[in-house]
Amino acid sequence: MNAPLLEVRGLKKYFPVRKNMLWSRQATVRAVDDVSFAVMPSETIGLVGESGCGKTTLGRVISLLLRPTAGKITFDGRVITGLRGRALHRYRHSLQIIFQDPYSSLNPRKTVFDIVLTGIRAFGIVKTKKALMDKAEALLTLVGLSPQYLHHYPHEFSGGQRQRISIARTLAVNPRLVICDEPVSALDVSIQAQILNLLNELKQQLSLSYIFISHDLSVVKYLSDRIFVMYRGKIVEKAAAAELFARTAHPYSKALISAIPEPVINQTKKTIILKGDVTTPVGAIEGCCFRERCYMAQAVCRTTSPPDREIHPGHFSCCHFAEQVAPPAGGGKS
Amino acid sequence: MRLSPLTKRRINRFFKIKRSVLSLAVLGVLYILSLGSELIANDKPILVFYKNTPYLFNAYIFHSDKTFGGQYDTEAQYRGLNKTAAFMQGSGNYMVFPLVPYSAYSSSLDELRGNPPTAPDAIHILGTDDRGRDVFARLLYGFRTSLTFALVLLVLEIVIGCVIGALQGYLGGAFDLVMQRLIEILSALPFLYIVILIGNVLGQSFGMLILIMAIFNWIGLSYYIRSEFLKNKQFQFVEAARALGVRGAKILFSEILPNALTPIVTFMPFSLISAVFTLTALDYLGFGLPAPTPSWGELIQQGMENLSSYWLSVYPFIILFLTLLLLAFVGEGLREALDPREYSRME
Amino acid sequence: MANEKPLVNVKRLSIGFTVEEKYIEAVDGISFAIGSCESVGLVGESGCGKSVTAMALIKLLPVPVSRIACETLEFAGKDLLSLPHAEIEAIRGREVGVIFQEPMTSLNPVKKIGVQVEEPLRIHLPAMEKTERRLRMFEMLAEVGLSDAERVAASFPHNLSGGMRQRVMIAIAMVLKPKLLIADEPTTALDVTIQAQIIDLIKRLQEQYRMSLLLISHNMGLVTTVCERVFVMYAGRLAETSPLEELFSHPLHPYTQGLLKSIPTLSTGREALQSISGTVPHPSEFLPGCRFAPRCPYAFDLCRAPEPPPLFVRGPEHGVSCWLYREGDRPT
Repeated sequence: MNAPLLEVRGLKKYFPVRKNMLWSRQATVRAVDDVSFAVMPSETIGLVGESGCGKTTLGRVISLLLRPTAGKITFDGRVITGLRGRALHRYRHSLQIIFQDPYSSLNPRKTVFDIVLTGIRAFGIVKTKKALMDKAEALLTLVGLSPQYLHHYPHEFSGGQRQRISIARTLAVNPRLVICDEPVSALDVSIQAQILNLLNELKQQLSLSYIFISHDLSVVKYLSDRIFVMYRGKIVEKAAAAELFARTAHPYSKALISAIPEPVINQTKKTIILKGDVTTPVGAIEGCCFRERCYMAQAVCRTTSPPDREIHPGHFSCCHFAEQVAPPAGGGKS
Repeated sequence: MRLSPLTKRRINRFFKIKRSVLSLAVLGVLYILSLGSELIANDKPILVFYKNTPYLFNAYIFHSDKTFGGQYDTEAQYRGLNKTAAFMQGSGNYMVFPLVPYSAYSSSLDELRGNPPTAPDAIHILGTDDRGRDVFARLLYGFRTSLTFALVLLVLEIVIGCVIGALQGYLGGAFDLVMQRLIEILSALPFLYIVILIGNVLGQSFGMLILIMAIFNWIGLSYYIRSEFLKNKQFQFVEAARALGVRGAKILFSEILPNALTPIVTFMPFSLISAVFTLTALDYLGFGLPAPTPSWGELIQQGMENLSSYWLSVYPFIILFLTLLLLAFVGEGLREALDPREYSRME
Repeated sequence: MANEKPLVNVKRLSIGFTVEEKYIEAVDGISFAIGSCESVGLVGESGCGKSVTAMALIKLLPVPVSRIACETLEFAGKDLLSLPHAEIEAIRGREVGVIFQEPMTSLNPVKKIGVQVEEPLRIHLPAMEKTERRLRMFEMLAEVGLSDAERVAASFPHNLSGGMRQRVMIAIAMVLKPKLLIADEPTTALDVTIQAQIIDLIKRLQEQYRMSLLLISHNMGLVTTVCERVFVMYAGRLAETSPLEELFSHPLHPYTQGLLKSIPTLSTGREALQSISGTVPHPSEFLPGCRFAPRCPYAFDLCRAPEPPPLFVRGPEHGVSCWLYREGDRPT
C-alpha cells in the first residue's frame, strides 16, 4: 500500500458559544472531537451524518478554511497544520472544496469567465489573456458546459449548471483532494444523477481523491470506496462501503441505514425509529456520545467512552457492543 | 464589457420612471450649465474685439487695463471700458457681455436706481441684494457651490463609509465592537459646535467645512455597508474565494463590494439633499462658507434682515425647494429601480 | 375505493401567475381524484406546480396575482367553486389539515404552543368548553408523540427542536380531525432519523383517524414508504398517475422511467447512473406541446406539435400523458 494523501490525527475543532449574555459563562461546541483517518490517493471517502454532527466543519478544517483547535493534518507527507501565510498558500490549491448551495456559492456580480478563473488569478498560474480564455473554455468543456456561456452571469443558469460552474472553478487550480460538501442535495432529483456522474468521470479522468460529505447514505454509497459515519463530532464507524452495509457495526449507522426512505417497493427492512433529537454537542459528555438515543444502551455506555476498535480488517466501530450489532461475518443475513 | 442583465434591467426600470429621469436630466443640465456660470452671469464680457484682436473668455483669462489702452497693471474694468477714450477711438471695437451682465461678487452700485436692495426690474430680473449684487447671479453661483459641495462631500462620505463599514462587517469581532463605540462617540458630538469652534480657530473655508462634514456624515452610510458586508460574507462564494487562495483585500473589494452597491446608490440622492440643506442652514447662521462666496443661505439671511425685500428670501427659497424636490424624485426612482422585490421567487 | 365517491375531485385545474407583467401558467389543466382514507403522493421537481396545486385545493392562493380556472373542484361532495367564501374557510380549517415544509416559519413565534394548537378549536368549534378544549389540546400533543405535553404547551416555538416543531404542526393540523391532510414536503428540512419519526407518525395518524393524505414531495423514496397511489407531475402537468406498485413495476412515462433509474439506492451498484439530460424548465419557459420532449430520449415529431398529450389510460387507475401510448405501444 502506498502512502496516504491526507492523514488526520486527533483533529479537534471547538467553537466557543456564549450560554447567556454574560461574558464569563462560556461553553464550547465540540463540532469535531478527536477525529483520525487517512485518505489514499484516488480514493473517495463518504462522510455521512445528520445536521450538526460536524461533517461540514470537518470539511472546512481539511480545506484550510478553519484552523483546528488541536490535532495534526498531514498532506502528501508534510504537516500542514500550523502553517501560515505564504507557506499555507502553497497548499491551498491542492485541497479544494465544492459547496452545497449552487446559489450562494457563485458571486452574482461576476461572469462565468471571472468565476471560473478566480483561483487561477489568485495563484497567478496563467498570465496572458489568450491563455486565460483558452483555460476558461477548456474548464467549461470539462464539466459539460458550452464555452459560449463564458460571459453569462450565474442567475442565467439552473441549479445543476451552476453546480457545474462551481466544479469548474474548483478544478481550475488542479486540486488533488476535493471536499464535496453536499454537492447535490440542493438540486432537483433528475439533475442529481448528472452531477454525480460528472464527479465520478472527473475522478477517473484527473485521478482525484474525494471526501464526499452528505446526509444521504444512498448517494454516499454510490460514490464512495470507504464510508465514515459521524455523530456528535466523532466518527463512530469506518468501513469499506460494501462492508458497512453488509456488516453494520454501530447502532447509529444501523438506524441511519434503516431510516432512508427508498424508492423500492416490497421492502423487507424494518425501520429503526430512534428516540430523541439530533442535538448540538455542547460541552463534554461522559461515556458514549450516542447513548441517549441508542436502543441498545447499557450501564457501561453511560460511564465509559467506547474505544475505536477494529472489529474486522479495515472496519472500525466506536461501540461497546459492535459485535452484537453486526451480524457474524460470512453468514450475515442480507 | 457586458453589463449584467440584472443591472440592465435596473437601468431600464429607472428609465421607465418618467418623473425621476426628468428630474435627473434637469438637475444634470442645470449643473453642467452652472459650471460655466462665468459665461452666463458676469460683468466681464465673453468677447472683446479691440484693435482687430479678439479677446475671448475674459472671465477666465486675465487682461490688464493696459491691454485695452489704459494705464494700470490691474485687471481691466470692462463695464466702463466702452466709455474710455481708447476704446471709443477705433471703429469696430466692441464687447459681447453674457446674458446677465452682472457678477455675483461685485456690486453695481453706480448703476442702480435707488438704494440696495432694489426690487426686481428689467435689468436685475430678480433684484439686487443689500450690497447691490445681482440676485440671479448669486443664485446661479450658489447653485454651483451647493451642488459641488454636496458632490465632493458625497465622494468623501462614500470612501470613508465604505472602507470603515466594509472592514467592520468583514472583520467583525473586536474591530467592529471598538469602531461601533467610536461611532457612537462621534455621533454624540454636537456637530454645530464643532463647526463653529473649528471655524473660529482655523478660519472658515470650503475645504475645512467639507472635511468637518465628511467626518460626521459617513456614519449613516457605514451602517448600510456594514450590514451588507455582514450579510454577504456569509455567502459561500466568499468562502470559495478564500479556499481558492484569494487574499483578504481582494475578497473585500472585488468579491463583496460589487454586491453591496445597492445601498450606496440609493443613499446618494438623499445624502446630496442633506448636504445642500445643511450647507444652506450653516450659511444662514453665518457659520458656513466665508463671505463673499455666493450662497443661498446667506441670501435668505439677508431676507430675514430686510423683511420688506421679499425677493431676497422668496427666490432662494423657491430654488432651494425645487433642487431638493428634484433630488428627492431622483432618489425615489433609484430606490424603486433597485427594489429587490423582483426576486421574490415563485414555487 | 373505485365505486365510492372520491373525497377530492378535480377536473382541468389551471393556475397562472402574473410575475413582472408576464403571465405564467404554473399548472395546466390537471385532473385527479383522491378517495377517502387513501394516501396519495404528488411527486415532482421544483417549479412543477405541485405545491401550488395543493394550495389551490383549499383556495389558499393570493388572489390578485393568481388566476385559477377549473371545471370541477369538489370536496366531500361539495362544489367548492360555487360555495361562498365563509363556507370554504370552514372547510379549509375543519376538514383539511395542512403541514408545511418549514415548521419554524409556519408557527407564530410569539404565541405559546398550547395556544396555537387550541386555535383551530377556538375558531371552528366556538361552542366548546374551555376545559374540554385544553384537554383536547393535551390529548393531541400526546398523540403526536410529545410526551411531556404540559411543558411543550407552555413553551414557544424557538424552544423546540425542528422535529418537535413539525410534530406541533401536525398536532395543529389534526386537532379538528380533518378528512384530508395535505403534507407539503413535511420532512425536507429534517434529518434522516427525525424524518423516519415523522413519517412513522403521519402513517400511524392516517390509519387511526381514517383520513386521506396528500403527500407532496420531491423524494420518491418518501412517497414509496407512505403512499398507495402516486401522481407524477412535470412542468405543470400530470405526467403519470398510477398505483404505487404498478408505477415501479411498469413505469410508462419516459420521465418516470428516467427518474426511477437516476436515483441511487442502497441496492444500486457502482455503474454510472442513468441520468435525464437537460434541465428542469422554469414556469416562464414552458413550451407548447409535450413539455418533457426536449429531455425525452423517445421524442418524435408529434411530441413537438403544439397540442399537449392527453392522459391515456393504461390499466386500472393507471394513466400516462405521453404520445407514445396513443395506440398502445410502449417504449422498450
